[in-house]
Amino acid sequence: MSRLSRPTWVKNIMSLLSVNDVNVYYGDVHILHDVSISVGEKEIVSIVGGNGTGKTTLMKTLSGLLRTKTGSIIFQGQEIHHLLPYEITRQGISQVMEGRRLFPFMTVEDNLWMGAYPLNDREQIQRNFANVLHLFPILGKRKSQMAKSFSGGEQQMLAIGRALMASPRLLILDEPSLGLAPVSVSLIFDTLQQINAKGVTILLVEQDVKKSLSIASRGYVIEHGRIVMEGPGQQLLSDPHLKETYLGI
Amino acid sequence: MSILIQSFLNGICSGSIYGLIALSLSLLFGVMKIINFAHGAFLMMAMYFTLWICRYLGLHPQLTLLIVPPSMFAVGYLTQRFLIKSIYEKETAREPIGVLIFTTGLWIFLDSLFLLFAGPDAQVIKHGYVNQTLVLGDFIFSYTQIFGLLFSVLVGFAFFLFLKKTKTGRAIRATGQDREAASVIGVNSYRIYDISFGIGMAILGAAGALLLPLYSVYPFVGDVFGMRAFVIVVLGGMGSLSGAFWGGLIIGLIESVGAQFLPATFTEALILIIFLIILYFKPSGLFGLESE
Ligand SMILES: Nc1ncnc2c1ncn2[C@@H]1O[C@H](COP(=O)(O)OP(=O)(O)OP(=O)(O)O)[C@@H](O)[C@H]1O
Ligand SMILES: [Mg+2]
Repeated sequence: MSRLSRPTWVKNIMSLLSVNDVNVYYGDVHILHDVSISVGEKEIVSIVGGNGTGKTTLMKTLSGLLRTKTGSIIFQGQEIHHLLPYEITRQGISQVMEGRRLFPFMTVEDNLWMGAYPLNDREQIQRNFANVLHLFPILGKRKSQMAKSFSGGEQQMLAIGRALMASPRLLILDEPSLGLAPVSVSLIFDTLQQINAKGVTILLVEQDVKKSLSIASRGYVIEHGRIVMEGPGQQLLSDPHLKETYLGI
Repeated sequence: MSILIQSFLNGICSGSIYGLIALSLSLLFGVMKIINFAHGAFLMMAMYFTLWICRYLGLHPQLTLLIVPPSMFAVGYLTQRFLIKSIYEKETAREPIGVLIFTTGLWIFLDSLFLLFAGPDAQVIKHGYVNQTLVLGDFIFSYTQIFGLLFSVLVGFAFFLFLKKTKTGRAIRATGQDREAASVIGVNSYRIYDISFGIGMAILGAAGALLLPLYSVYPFVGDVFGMRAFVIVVLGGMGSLSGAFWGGLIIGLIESVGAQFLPATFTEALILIIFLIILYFKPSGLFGLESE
């Protein structure tokens, strides 16, 4: 029934990922309330919202670190909400977690090889490695440096590179711009568009509402664990409520 | 002077075996964040395995190294897979306190089990090899010591290569550094725990097989070595694998060189005094907190 009430542009997109009425708790605390989102093939979808609204909780549920009490998560037509994190990755979903979560005492190169852990095809791994170095040349120049010695922006590039090493169909990023200088933020967003142009679907969580919605084909606004708005990126950007709350206009 | 050099060399020989014991303890701590209180008991088990293989199968003590480490790998793998894992799963959100309690229970259980079946007496390997010596100029070495040193260094080196160069080795390091991140990029962390526990016990098994020709085995022999391994791991820096190995050498040296000047009970105290002094000045251990 709820499908029928969706706007037509949702129906027209073949969903790669659909999250249906997900409810997630920390102990007794109800964090996500009936959250439903969908991500179509080759889209960039952005979820925006303030601090503590449940964005990371949703991302952790997608990666299998947290479980939903009700509803379902469907990726490429298969339920994945009961799978373990490593099984979900093997389905073709890579996530750049909040805080980047690199292996600090490993070299750049080893971090990247770890990203290809789910793959067995050596040639594929070599190809991915070359592609990542092409995307982020700095990683190639500092191959044998420890990840912890990198600056925030470089770490974010490494985290994205590591996620790409697994040849994902869907790349999920939780606040990639957090704590970065404006130059790095622009670079990261440019790169995400390049990655998307190569055919990787992107689901992005951001507090940088303006930048993320302007590259997104569609966006969702989350408040207090509920999706309160959805629509094409540009349309959301011109919404009065959103302007007032997030852009301070 | 030559006595001093001789004791220095002896210290390096036994220290390298201590290094292996501490290395395996440190591996489990670094990867699983658990302190395996049953470590000494597992060492004792490995020493009994070695003894029985020599005694009942009539194998040369060196050949036990082909059997004891793989058997201990199986013991460790299965212990983790079927006993520890289920406790661990219930405690993913907090420090695995239940596992600490479990390994403590396992320690007491194993000590009692071997007391029951092997008896309280200290037993030694009876084999010509045990008494062979190597004379180099002024110095006399027991053959088992030299072999212990070489083999320990070999095992330590092979283990480091494994961690640095293989896919599984990298996954072990990654899991130790950030378990959640490792699982999100596709590592089955429980499988890594199974393998790490197995490898830790295999290294411990090698240490046991190397120690037995030098010492006697009795049900509580592990307590001494286990306690020493804790001291070494803390001394070397919790979670630092190379620190554990160097820490082992240092303790071996203190024990052996100290014995030239002090009665044996005092060297035991000396080890703890030096341990406290080092911790006072460098609380994170000699080799810092770098987890590898
Ligand atoms: N481990 C936890 N245990 C209990 N409550 C938690 C836990 N992690 C987060 N929360 C709570 O869940 C709510 C949502 O947190 P979440 O991290 O998902 O927000 P967020 O939208 O990602 O915020 P931010 O933009 O700051 O990253 C918050 O109220 C937070 O306090
Ligand atoms: Mg967050």
